[in-house]
Amino acid sequence: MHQYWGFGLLISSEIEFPEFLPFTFTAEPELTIKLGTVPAEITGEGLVKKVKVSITATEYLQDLPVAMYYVAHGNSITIQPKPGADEKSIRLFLLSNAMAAVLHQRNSIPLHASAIMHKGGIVLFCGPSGAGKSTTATMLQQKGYKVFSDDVCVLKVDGDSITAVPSYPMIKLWADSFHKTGLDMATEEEKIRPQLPKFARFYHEEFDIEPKLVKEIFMLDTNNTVSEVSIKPLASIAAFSMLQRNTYRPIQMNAMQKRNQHFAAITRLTNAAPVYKISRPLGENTLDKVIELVTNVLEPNE
Amino acid sequence: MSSDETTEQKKIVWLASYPKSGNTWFRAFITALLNEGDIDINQMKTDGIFSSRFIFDNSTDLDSTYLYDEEVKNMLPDVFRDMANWYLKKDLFVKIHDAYSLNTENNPIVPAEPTRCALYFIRNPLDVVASFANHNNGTLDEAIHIMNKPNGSLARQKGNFNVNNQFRQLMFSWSGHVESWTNENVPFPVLVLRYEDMLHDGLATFTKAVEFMGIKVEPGQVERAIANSNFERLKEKEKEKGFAEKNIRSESFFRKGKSGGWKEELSAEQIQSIITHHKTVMEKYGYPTTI
Repeated sequence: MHQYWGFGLLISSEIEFPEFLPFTFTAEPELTIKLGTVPAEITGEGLVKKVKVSITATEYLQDLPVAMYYVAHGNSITIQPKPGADEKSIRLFLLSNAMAAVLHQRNSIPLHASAIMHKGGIVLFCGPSGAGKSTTATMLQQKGYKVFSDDVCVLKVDGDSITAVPSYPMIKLWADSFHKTGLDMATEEEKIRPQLPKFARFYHEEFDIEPKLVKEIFMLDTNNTVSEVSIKPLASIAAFSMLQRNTYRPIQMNAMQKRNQHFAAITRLTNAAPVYKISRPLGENTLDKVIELVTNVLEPNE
Repeated sequence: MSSDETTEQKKIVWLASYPKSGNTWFRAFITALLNEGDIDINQMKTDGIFSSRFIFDNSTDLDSTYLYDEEVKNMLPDVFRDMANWYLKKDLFVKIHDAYSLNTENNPIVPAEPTRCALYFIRNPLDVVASFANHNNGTLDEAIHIMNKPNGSLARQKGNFNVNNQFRQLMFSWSGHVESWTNENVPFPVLVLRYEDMLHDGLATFTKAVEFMGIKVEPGQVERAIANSNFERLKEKEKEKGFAEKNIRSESFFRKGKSGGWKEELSAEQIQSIITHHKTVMEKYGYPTTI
């Protein structure tokens, strides 16, 4: 079995995950990933069926083109690959869906956010897919900041304070982001799926798994009706309203009836750190301007 | 429809068309009809577009940007079955520019079970050309090229990118699009509405559409909705506040809203190219093919 750390959990896996952080431990694993046969269906109280997925509070069964995934009790994932499926795709959908189900089953709060480290804490970049979370984090990495997490941060509520842990040390970037951020183009080998122009950039060396306080939050918003990049601080009600839309996998949250704890965590988060909204027009390269606005907030005296 | 129960289950009305053929105008009409008054073009009362990533992600528990287009198309029938299940309201009006086509599992991408009917909006392809070119911020010849090629598509992203808020839409050629939605194998009722009739014979045309969809209206309601969704008003509203559905590269969404503009807009060669490719379908729907 391979041993890893990922999403705040000690993971024991039958298949190799280059994405996770290799991590030797002697304790019981918190999550076990294995290959096997998944149940034909799940039943039970509160069963919610959506397209190709069935969910209860303790079980999750998803049927995707590359594999079927069964997640139970927050501590096990069973993968049943489809014939001919490639391993990268099988791992990608586990990392983005089955893992979220594990976290929800364990009452953790996955947030759709990339993050960089700053002054002993972290800065979150939230927004839907395509908003520029990963590109912004990568550009800041180019400017000397360290990347904390890509795409997902896992929130931990502890008394009045709220901290976050990262997902795994890999940034996923669309092909055009390499040019925008001044990076050399990635190789075919680094694609996250064989026919998708999106690439993996590992950062295992700078990966920090210690929980960190959230210092600042930026909501990234693309908008067809604005012509310039702008930034504005959000008052708490607006901040809450925008942040709660960044729950990672709202279908899971609703189906597993985790709304209350999500809302409680988002409320803490809203009170813990200032929230700014950055709006930018679609279809233009506005990255430099976005980075300028972000660094003006992070380093006000420079 | 055999019973009340069946009627209730079948709640989706597809608003189908090739682009720039009156679809959004009709959605503004529906909005005015349901709102009984003023309309905000950025808050249409209709229920999104078939190619919407938002609708897809709401039904699948997936980040659809990781999917291949083929995988998306194979899941779409289930997505709209699911959408019809979780919406409480009894009518869903969903815009669609995709051709009525099969996915690689050999299923129609548009599911029959939740479908009540489709309205198919058709407009003289000679008039579509300049409007479509404006929409794409491209040339007339580029628009003609897309309209003539058998596998024309909309919102296609370069190099298999899949990030925009709409999925790629396979439209076929202009004729292929019309034929896909109006042939006898489509397993639900389809009413064809000509843009030109909406323009010149509004009351009769819109009334026919409302009856076909099975929507109950009060006397005078259709007339008021027509007046409130008048093309000039939509254009004014876009000028005032912008329109989120406008292609980012184009100047404005609402352009002229007229018929017959092609006589000034197109060259003889361009006219001939459209007529050569689409003569049969044009004649079937009463569009002149001799100049």
